[in-house]
Amino acid sequence: MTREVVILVAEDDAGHARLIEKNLTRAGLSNRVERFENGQELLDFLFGRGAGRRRVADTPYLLLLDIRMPKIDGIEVLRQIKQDPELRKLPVSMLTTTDDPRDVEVCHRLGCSHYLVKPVDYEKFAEAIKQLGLFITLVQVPEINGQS
Amino acid sequence: MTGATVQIQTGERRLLAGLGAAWVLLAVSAYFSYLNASHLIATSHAVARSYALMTREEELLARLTEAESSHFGYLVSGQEVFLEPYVAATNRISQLARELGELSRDAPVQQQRVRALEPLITRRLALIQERVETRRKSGSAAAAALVREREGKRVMDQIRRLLAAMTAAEEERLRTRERASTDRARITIWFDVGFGAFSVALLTGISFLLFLENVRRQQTEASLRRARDELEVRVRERTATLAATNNALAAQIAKHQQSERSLRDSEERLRAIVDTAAEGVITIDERGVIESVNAAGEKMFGYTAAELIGRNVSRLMPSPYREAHDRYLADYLRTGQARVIGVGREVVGQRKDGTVFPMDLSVGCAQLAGRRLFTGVLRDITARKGAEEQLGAMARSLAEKNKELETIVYVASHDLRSPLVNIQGFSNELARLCRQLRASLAGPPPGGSGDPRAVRFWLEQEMPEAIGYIQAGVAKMDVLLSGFLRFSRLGRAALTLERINAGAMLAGIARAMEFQVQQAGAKLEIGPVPDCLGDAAQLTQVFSNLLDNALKYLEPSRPGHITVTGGSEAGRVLYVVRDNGIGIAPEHQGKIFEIFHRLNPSAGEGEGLGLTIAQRILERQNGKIWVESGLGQGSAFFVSLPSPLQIDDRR
Repeated sequence: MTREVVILVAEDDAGHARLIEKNLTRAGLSNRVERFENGQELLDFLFGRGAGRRRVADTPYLLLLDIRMPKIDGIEVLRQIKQDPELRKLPVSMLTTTDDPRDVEVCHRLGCSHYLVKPVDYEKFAEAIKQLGLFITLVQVPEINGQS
Repeated sequence: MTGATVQIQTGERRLLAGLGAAWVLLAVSAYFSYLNASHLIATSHAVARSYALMTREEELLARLTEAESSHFGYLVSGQEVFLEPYVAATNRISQLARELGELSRDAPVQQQRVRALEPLITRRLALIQERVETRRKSGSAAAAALVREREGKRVMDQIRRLLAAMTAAEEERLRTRERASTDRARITIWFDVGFGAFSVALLTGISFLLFLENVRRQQTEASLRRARDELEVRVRERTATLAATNNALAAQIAKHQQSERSLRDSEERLRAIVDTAAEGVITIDERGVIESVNAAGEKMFGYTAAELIGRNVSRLMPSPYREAHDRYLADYLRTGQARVIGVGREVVGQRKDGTVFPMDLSVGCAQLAGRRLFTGVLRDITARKGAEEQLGAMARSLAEKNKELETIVYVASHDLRSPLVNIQGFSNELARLCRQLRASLAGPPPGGSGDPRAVRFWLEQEMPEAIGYIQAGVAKMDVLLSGFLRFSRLGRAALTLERINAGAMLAGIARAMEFQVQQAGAKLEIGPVPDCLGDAAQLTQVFSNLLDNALKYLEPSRPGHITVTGGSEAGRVLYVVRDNGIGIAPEHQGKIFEIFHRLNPSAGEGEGLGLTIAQRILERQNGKIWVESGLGQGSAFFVSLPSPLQIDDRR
């Protein structure tokens, strides 16, 4: 039995994060959720830098990544993740407010697993999150080895 | 015609010779006639004289006899009456003797006789006188004695003999003359007959000649007439031919004139077109020598046509094209491979004053009279180039603006959607909670959980949370929209560019911020700064924002120190706002001027517009802003503005 997937949510907007959590729960996903308020915080966690939280080796993670964030945005975060030989295995689902084709293209090129637009419509949002939950349950999320 | 002239001349000469001969003959004949007539007149005069002489001799003899008889009557009668005839005869006799002398002057023999006669007559008369005197004085007897002496009779006989001799001689002369006259008359007759015959012959000859001449003339005239007729026919024929040819020529000339006129017209038109063309038109020969330049070409290069014609076209090009042109032309003539001809391209021209300018060149090659003529059509594209560059610059700045706008739209669509997502999401949460509340009020569901704790949780936790997010979202949207409004107002605000006393301006800002600086426990230093050119109100906003940021992002672990310095360089003024704050990591530096971007939203208030607005303000005033910084090393914001000298220069 694999260990339970930890869902990482990089989202500067607290409301959005709260809605994501609520919808994930409502979709029947009881996975642990770790939230990051900006790209810098997330990268520090993933690369084991700084004084804050750090990821745990051999734990399967899944990342829900907002694009527009303070300090370092989601695209820069994605780029750095995909440049790392170990971290690149991490499934990344972009979860953002715009469906700007340029952003979509850049993210796919960089290697995101999924691209989801935060719908203003609650029903659609819930549906999207449910799909994501389904995605998460279906995907065999690889474990990421410790780095440092 | 020459032969006819000669014939006529020969005929005329012959005729003239005949007429000349006739004239000579007539002259000779007239001369002879004159001679004969003169001779006849002389002869007739002589004959008349001879007859007069003989008459006078007879009368003399008669008078002498009369004188004798009358004195005899007196002698007999003594009567004086008888003496009357004697007196009358005596007078007459002496007259007659004189006349005889005159009449016999041409005959010397007769003259002698007259002279011999005169004393005899005197003697006879003297004898008579003597008898008369004797009778009167001595009577009839004495007188009778005298008569008897017979002397009278002798004298008288001598006179008679002399007179008879004279008469006989005169008669002889008459006969001689008559013979001579007869001979002469005969000669004259023969002569006249001869002359007449000769004249007749001559006249006949002349007439014949005339006739011949006439015939010949008539023939000549006829042949001339024939020739004339023929000539007339030929002339008519030739005239007709000539007229036809003339007409043809006239038609041809008309056609020629027409085509010449149209050629001239088209040439004039062409020249007018070429001369009034906006493009320069230059023709050169195969060696590159200029043959013609139009007005636009003269103007374009600053040369007169006279200065260019006959010179090599390469003088209109700057190096290195100048040197390359002859080679290029030679290459083309040899290989026929053109690089410009028929294509046209952008080249560089050189004016008389040495300045160069870009131009469009298209070259055509024409074959004229067995040689090649190159026509270059030139257009000065300096203005177009300038416009192109200006357009390029405008396009670039427009692209930048566009990019900026796109960024703004992008950010706006993103940032405005963010609070909307919350409002929508949490209002749906509220709606769900309402449904749950209504359900629980309606009564506990079968086997349900009408748990009052759940209702309390909804009411005390979930509903206020949702309402809080909704309100926050609304507030956020309000902030964003008012920020947009402020930002868009910047583009419309009127600018008053003037000389800014930056030192005074900064001092004013520092005074306004004194409290904040004290609160932060920081130190603010403003050094000597140069004046600049800009809008006072907006620049105050820029520097207030920079100082505000500097205070906001100070490093809590050390006392804040903020300085403002300034300097001038190359017509511009540079201000530096430096702090010893937290600094900005290089990867974040590009984002700080983005609209609504906040590096650290938790670090105090702000809408993420300050630097965006500062950048926008400076752009509109021909200014620039940039940052030099490092994480933990503090930041330096550079503001560049035009020097006020520029406005002074313009004035």
